[in-house]
Amino acid sequence: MSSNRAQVSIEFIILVGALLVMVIAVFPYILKTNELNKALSAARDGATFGAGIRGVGYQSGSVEAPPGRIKIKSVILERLGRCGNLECYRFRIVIMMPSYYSSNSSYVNSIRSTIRNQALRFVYYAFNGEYPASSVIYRVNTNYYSFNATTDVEYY
Amino acid sequence: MDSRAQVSIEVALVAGIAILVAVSLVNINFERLNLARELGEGGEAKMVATLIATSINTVHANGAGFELTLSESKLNFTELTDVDQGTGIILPIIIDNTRRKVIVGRNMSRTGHKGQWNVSVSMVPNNVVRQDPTARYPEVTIRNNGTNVIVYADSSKVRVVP
Repeated sequence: MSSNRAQVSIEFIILVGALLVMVIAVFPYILKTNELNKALSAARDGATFGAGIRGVGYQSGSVEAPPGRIKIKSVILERLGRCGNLECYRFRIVIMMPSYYSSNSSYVNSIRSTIRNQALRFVYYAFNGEYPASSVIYRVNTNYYSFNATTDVEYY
Repeated sequence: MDSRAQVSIEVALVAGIAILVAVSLVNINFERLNLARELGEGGEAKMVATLIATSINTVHANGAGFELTLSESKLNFTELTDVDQGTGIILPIIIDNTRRKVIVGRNMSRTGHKGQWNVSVSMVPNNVVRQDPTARYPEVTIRNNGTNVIVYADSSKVRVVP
């Protein structure tokens, strides 16, 4: 009985040791991938929030766009190459909105601006635990990456 | 005794990994909580604007002598203005005769915004005036006197713009 327990213990230690070696080997990769996933998830949340709040009819600045069904069709992460010590990525946010917005470019630009800004604000929060002091931000830097965002609009 | 030691190492490993995962997700979870609350309460604020605009339209449409009262159960300013437990509405609610709109502002500090975000709902009349509430017309009564639609409410809660 006692020898059985010892064998299990050695197997367990070997298994844990092998797992530890594997985890340590891929740890930097996991950290970087985790950062990308976290940023993409936060950007989706932020874009959805921006679309929701503008869809209800909240105005941004002086532009009072009418309420409507504003949707986020997709948020795609595009690699732009290196910028300094960081890898640059861009969120391409595809927004769907009713065609009646298309007649007024200030409505469209204001909604695009809100959604892009909210996406980056949420990314900033995800990595810093607080929202940025500035109400408008254009770039978020993390340990490995630098993120900005752009928007495309589709009408329905 | 050996078995207990093994369990202890396993527990330490699992707990360590669980803490790492939890810490990495905690910001995103708080973010999503705030997002959901902010959107929901944003909708509530718009419902308040819709309630007031609809009431003004109803009083306007029913002609002279018609009145209705939005009691505290329907329009509770204390709850509406509470940022943590309520809707975070910033008073006063604006009734703009020129633009024919009821405008409600919200505090969005939970998602890091300074200042207020406004949402508006259109109304039909452009002859709305405000008066202080009385014993006969308590807050918030809306009455059509044949000339104007009168909103009886304190000036700190409702402001009418000509």
